[in-house]
Amino acid sequence: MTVEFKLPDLGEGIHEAEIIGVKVKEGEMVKEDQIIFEVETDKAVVEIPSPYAGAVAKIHVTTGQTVTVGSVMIAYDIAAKGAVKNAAAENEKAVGSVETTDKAAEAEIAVAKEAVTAGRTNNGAAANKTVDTDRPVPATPATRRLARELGVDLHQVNATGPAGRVSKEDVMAFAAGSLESRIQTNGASKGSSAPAFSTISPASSASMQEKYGTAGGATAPLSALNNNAGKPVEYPDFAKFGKVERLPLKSIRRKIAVNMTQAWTHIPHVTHFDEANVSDLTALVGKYEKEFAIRSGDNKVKPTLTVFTIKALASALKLFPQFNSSLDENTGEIVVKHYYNIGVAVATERGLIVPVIRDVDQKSFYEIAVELSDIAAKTRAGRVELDRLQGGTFTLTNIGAIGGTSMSPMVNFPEAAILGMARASQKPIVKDGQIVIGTILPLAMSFDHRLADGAEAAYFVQHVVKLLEDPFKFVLEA
Amino acid sequence: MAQMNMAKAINLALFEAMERDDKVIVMGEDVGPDEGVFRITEGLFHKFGDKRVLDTPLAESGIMGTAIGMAIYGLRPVCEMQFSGFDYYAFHQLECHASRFRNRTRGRVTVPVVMRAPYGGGIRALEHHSESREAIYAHTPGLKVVIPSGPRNARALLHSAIQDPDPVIYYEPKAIYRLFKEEVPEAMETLPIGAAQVVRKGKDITLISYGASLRATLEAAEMLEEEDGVHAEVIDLLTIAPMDATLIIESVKKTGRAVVVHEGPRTCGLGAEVVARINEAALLYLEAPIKRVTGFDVPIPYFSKERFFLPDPERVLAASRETLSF
Repeated sequence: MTVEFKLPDLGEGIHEAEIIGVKVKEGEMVKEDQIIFEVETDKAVVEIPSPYAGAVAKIHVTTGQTVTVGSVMIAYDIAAKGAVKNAAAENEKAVGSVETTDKAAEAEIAVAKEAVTAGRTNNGAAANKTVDTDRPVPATPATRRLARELGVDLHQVNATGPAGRVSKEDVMAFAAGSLESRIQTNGASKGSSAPAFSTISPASSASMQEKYGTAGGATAPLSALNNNAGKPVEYPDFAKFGKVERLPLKSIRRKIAVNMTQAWTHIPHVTHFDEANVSDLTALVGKYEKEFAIRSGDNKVKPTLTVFTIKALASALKLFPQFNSSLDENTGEIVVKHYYNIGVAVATERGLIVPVIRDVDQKSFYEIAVELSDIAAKTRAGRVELDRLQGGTFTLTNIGAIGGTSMSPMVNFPEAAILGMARASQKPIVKDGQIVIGTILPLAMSFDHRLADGAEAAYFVQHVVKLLEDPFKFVLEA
Repeated sequence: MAQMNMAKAINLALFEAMERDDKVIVMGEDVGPDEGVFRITEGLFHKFGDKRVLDTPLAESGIMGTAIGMAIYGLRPVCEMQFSGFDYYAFHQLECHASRFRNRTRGRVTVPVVMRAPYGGGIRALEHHSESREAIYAHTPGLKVVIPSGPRNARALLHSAIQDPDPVIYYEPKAIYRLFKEEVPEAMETLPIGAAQVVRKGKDITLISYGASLRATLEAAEMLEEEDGVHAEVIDLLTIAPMDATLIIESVKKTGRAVVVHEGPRTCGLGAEVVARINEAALLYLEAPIKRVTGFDVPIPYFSKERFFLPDPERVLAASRETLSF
């Protein structure tokens, strides 16, 4: 009797493969598990072993041909009855065999499934690593807990710990979209005196490409995101219930409405909350307030919390470039910006305006304080230059002067994230088992969840927090 | 009050308890005019007389059986077993009656008896005189097992044991009877049975011990600090049954690493119980497997090799370093 063998499902997302080698001939006797084809997917070369033993009746494919999952590749003549098992089961078995073969095979022949997963998860080293998802990964329980909390699958993490264990650092590096190996190639030193997060490498544009794939690879428009088409909304007759007034939506208000609608409809927002104990920093601010005023001849120039936060953001954005990027829905690309322009939300009588301080990474605290004072005054007076309202990469909004325990700010479209500062106020905090008074600054960062995940946002904000809590770290960073 | 060693502090507690409550009876082999083999009952016979300080025949089962009867009828007997190695004769009475009486009478009658016994090695003694079998009692439901580690807690715990409504095994680490002195306050103190103590604060590793081994553990903690800059937290169990798991778990959740130290044999020893409790409640906080530094699964050797059996600071240090560098 004759049985057919179809191209098995090779793993997530793989729908077709190119035949690059046919290892058997028609009429040939093949053994079970003998390699019959070599196929190439867009991720890896996969050897396909024979699920049957028998004579090859017909080969339906040729080298160079692209076949889709489920198409018939080969037919066998099988003599013995009962040798044929359920075809679906055989297909499953074939996939299993692919993995088994891979383990023994050379490193460059990776299982498609594994390669896909590795590609998706940005673990470059794991691409050549055999991932045996059936067995537990060696890691201490504490590391497992961390992985669970960060939503990291330990099987995907490259282990650098003793005895082949996945260490906490491995998990954190993985979660932050970074790798030990990359730290080494980037030449960033691990044991520097920088803050605890120094093990997370400053990801370059290259790493962003590794993470999201290179431009030109997949540039199809993400049509699902273009959800502008909608029916007109129906409103009740408000006047039926009392006197109403209808005003034209114009000027800044209209612009804000358009921007917010864009932000809300295009960006899947997530807000991450944290707080910083800025007791030490506020003491420093008080101490140097006079100096800044004397130096600038303007008592409005102050080393404020905003100034320090802007510098902290510059540092954090370099470490986490995903928050300094934009998602281009038209091309399906991530635009990573190599300039750090912080927009500062200013409340004016006419509405919210966001002037931009450019290249904050290259400016000193004093320069930023001067510019901030200038730009805020001009914006409030409605005299800010147009080019100073453009080119922002990240926005900072501070409602602390008014109040608030926290907020849920909306991303300034098309940026990736916005950080909100609420009122820094004195709170009882527990320090070394004692209740002491500390100045707590609540922080809230909303971000585009398409570009970054919660764990990354948590690391990002923690980096800002660490700098604000211990201003000397700015010195160490410089 | 005064600086005193542990033997004196236990003696003091007996004095105070007998003065405070005339239901407290001391009984055992040579506890009367001879004042006890380790002189723990010194002065008691002279002060309280032969109605309250009873010399018994050399028959541990008889001592315990008599004491249980007295306790049921309202007295508070404190029995001394000359060495813990002889108290197996009393085990039947303890296990079969003392530990079960509350349950057997559905809570109507309890047995407020205390069994004191010097236990453990370190005094280069003969066979039956150095063993550390506290786990047998800890394994027996209905018994509480208390082990002091110094003069002040020895006195306070003995008061708690005597006042407790249920049978309490009070094991005295004989190696430290006269090893060091400590300030013992004037006022009578008690310590809650079932509560462990953090005797040294630390953040890097938790060392758990009790009895005489606590000394070696504390020394190891000092060495870790001096040589490795490691801050070890040391917990003194004080009561091994019921065990204060909460304190241990709290500490391990903070440090992520632990070593248990005791001189009793390893298999089914208290260390195994501590490890199990940690695994049940703090598994996901562990950075390394929990190590045990214990006696070995052999009868404790005679005096020339005794020191190889007992946990010493070097063994605790080595185990801690392995745990820290895992």
